[in-house]
Amino acid sequence: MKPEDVLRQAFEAQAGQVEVAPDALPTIRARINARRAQRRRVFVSLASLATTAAATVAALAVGFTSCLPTNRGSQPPGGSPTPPGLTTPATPTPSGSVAPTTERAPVYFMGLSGGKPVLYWEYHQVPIGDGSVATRIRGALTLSLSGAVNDVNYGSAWSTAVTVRSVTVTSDAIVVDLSGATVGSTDPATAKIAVQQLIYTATGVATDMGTTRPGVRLLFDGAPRTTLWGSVPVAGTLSRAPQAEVLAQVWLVSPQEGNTVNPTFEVHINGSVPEANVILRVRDSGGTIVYEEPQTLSVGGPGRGDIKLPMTLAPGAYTLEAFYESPDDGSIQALDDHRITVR
Amino acid sequence: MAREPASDRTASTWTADEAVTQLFGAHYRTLVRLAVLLLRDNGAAEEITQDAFVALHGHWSRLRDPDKGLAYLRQTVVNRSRSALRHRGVVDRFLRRQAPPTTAPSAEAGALAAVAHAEVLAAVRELPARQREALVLRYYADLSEVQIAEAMGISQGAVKSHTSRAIAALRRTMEPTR
Repeated sequence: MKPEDVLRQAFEAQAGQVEVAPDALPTIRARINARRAQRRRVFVSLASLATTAAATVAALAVGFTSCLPTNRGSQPPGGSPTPPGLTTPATPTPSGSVAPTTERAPVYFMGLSGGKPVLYWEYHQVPIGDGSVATRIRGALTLSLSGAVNDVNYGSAWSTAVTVRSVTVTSDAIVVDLSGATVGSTDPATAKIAVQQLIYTATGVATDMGTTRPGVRLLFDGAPRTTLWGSVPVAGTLSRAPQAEVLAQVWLVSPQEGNTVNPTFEVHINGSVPEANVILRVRDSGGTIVYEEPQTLSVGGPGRGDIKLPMTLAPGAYTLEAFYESPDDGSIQALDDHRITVR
Repeated sequence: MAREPASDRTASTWTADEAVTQLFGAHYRTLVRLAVLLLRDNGAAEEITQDAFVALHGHWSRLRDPDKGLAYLRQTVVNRSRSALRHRGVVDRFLRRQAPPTTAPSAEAGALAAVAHAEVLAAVRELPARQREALVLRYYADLSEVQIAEAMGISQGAVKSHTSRAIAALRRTMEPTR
């Protein structure tokens, strides 16, 4: 028998075993109605506010939706005047005399979105040490380069052999000396993200501590180089690449992966998506969708916008998913998901 | 005057709700099965198919044609299955999970045909995603090259080459070892 004939029969046999849920059509209708209700609320609010200034309209229109979100344009860590809050206190500071030894800092990692390497970030605790900015940058870079992620969808674009020898903050740059960076990705896109992972982390920590520096100078075992892994220029002072080139299109900023939150908590999504439309979906521990609604970011692509909305869930384990739908074919794009526990 | 039932009116006058109901009745089961063949995960396949119908509802004003609606549903199912597999692939890579064991036919069902089916399906699973999609759309959904190209968002030439490479790979796998 020809492979084509065996294939036809095999597909038919496998497909024939699949039965569909009896309540599929009511489920689809309920989801359509939820979206329709959401659109109507936004539409009514927009219409009633048509004469108001555009920015106010956008903010209020979303305010009329079920979740009373606050949204405004923002930048990633290291550029944001108010870094996003976490739902769980990062460092439980005892009321006694013991000073904390670590502090929360934004740490960038690589992830894949549509097969393309992009940057995501998480808050992590980094050692304070002598209290200097350089020590904190070194701590954050050590976590970043080693890929010490909470979310297993992220990782590091650097090999495990690389270590941070030293970090020095000069008047015009952050100087990072690396060791063991001899082996790395030969894919130019991944190599570029590797360098940007380092630059975004270092400048982000510095800016959050009020020590903004325009860029990073890289040393390799004490000496500068012109290129890294044969493709990425690393001479001179390196600055952050434009956000649209390197950041993931959708970030589920909080809750972060593995967080335990109160029954009512804030969801923060940041992204650069067509027409500012993102979809927030929540699944329970069995994978069933318990919430799904479109949300409107404060700014549409190519800008980056935010939305923060309160959400209430019964105690249990959930997965939150943020993504956008391709306007062309309805496909899911730039999905970022985090598993959380509601206490 | 009472509105005629959707089935008695021409499809171009269907509302989005009617389009979902009509196309659901005609194609839902086949689309779920298509997604299962692409994904090997019944729960995810059903959810992705439901996603496609929800998305269809939002786009019906642009489609207004049952054939275009079905093409849109297929395209969405293929795209979302691909996204789901890619996402699963990323997770698998980072977790360094083992590949799931291939399903072996039970002793009772251990007829030669079932063994052959299990073998060919295992070989299909090893193919690159695009080749697998082309085979499922051709030999399960019985689509023409034009329709496959549309569903996969690629050229007819690319459909031809994916299909022929896939068949060649399967032929190598299915050759009896001596």
